[in-house]
Amino acid sequence: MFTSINERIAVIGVYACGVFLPKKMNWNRQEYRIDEITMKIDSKKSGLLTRIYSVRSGTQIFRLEFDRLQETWTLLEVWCE
Amino acid sequence: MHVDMNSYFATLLQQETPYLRGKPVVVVKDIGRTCVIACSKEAKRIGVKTGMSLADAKKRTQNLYVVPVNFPMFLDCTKKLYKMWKELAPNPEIFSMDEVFLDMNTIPTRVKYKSEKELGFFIQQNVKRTLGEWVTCNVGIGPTRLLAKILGEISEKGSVCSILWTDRLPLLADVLFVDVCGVGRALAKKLACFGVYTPLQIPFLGKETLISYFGSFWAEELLKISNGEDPSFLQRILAEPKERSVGRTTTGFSLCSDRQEILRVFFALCCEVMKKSRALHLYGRTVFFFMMGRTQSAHHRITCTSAITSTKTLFEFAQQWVQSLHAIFPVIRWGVYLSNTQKDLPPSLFPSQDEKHEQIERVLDQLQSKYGSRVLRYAIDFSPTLPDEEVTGFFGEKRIHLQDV
Repeated sequence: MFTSINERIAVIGVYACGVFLPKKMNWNRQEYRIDEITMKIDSKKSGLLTRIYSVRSGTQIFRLEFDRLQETWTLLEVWCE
Repeated sequence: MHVDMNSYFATLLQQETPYLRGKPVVVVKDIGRTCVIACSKEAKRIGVKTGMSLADAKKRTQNLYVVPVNFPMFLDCTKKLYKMWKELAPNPEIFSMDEVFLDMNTIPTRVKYKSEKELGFFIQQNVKRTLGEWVTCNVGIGPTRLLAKILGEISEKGSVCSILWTDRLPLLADVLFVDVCGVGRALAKKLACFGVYTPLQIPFLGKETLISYFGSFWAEELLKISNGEDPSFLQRILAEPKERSVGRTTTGFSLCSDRQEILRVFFALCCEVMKKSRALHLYGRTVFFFMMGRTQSAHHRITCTSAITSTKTLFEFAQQWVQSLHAIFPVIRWGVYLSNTQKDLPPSLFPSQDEKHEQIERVLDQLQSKYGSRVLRYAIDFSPTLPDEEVTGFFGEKRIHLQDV
């Protein structure tokens, strides 16, 4: 079950063939290496396209949102058993 | 060629959350809801079925994972799939959100394949590349849509199967009606009374018996099925579907007895109905409202002399009706329908108040389509508990086709 977090986070990544791939994220003063992007969703929120990345870091799964207007990253949810 | 995604909704959720992979997963509309709307391959294996109650599903296994639906994800993935089908064959026939028929004769020559099966594997690889490694699909290749679909249904998950026209009889002799598209449970039961369990047994009943017991339409359809030909519902409908009415229903999260709140929900529904009506250029004269509670229900139908063109007018009917009710019962489900429709009203020289409202609403539609449905709306519509714009149907997966057109 995903649990809501909604916190601003820092994300670093690379552009590969014009596609952004998040590689690491910093949350709660801890660095998480992103091992796999399990899903990438484009959705429209109040007219703005937002991109939601579901990523796996070790055994943890996060939902990250990139706001194109503010250019900020938000940790939306974390998977908790 | 028929492509069918395996346990589409549940598989997408498993793709998103690797923890769920290989585990029995059921999808519900929201936490607290009790109807299983989709289930994973693993859940199907232990007897869980779509439409089952959650309590029944939990009886099958204690380790059942209940996950709420993620409509934006399904919509985005379906759009990606649709784009992929379009690139592969210019005229894909979308049969449902997770099923498509592709005409192999229209596949461009740049897609190189040595055999039909190789093309099937290529499609499976494309699906994996587009949606993720965990997402699988069945590919059935046949001379008719019916045979391709039957093959897809009965073959192992994630496989590619093909059949020739000359080999159809053994397949039709083996397949049960549960795997034959178009033959429902009631029809299969009726056929079983005659000792008919597979399509190949149908002709033995004789055309006259079929007509007398199933009617001329079904007699024709059953005979086509028995020969492996496409029944009429699997043939491509070339004519544009003709819309006759527009409507919208919603189910709340809890029972609501507040008259103002009930009216607010009706207003949101009226807005959506009129938005659909404007998009389809369809204007109705008869309006039907209903609301349902736990045991009670109420409805109201009214036919106007002229077509309803603005949300304000439509809502006024709902308002008059709700306010005329002496006692309000706790409501969980609402609905608004507009029927008795006509296409494109002739423009009038002196626009009425209603027509002026419609013009404003058309501008509002354009703004909402550009900046989002919640960015600019009526003051009455401002409530956090109001239903979201529908994600399936006209504003959901069908919008893909509309945008494409």
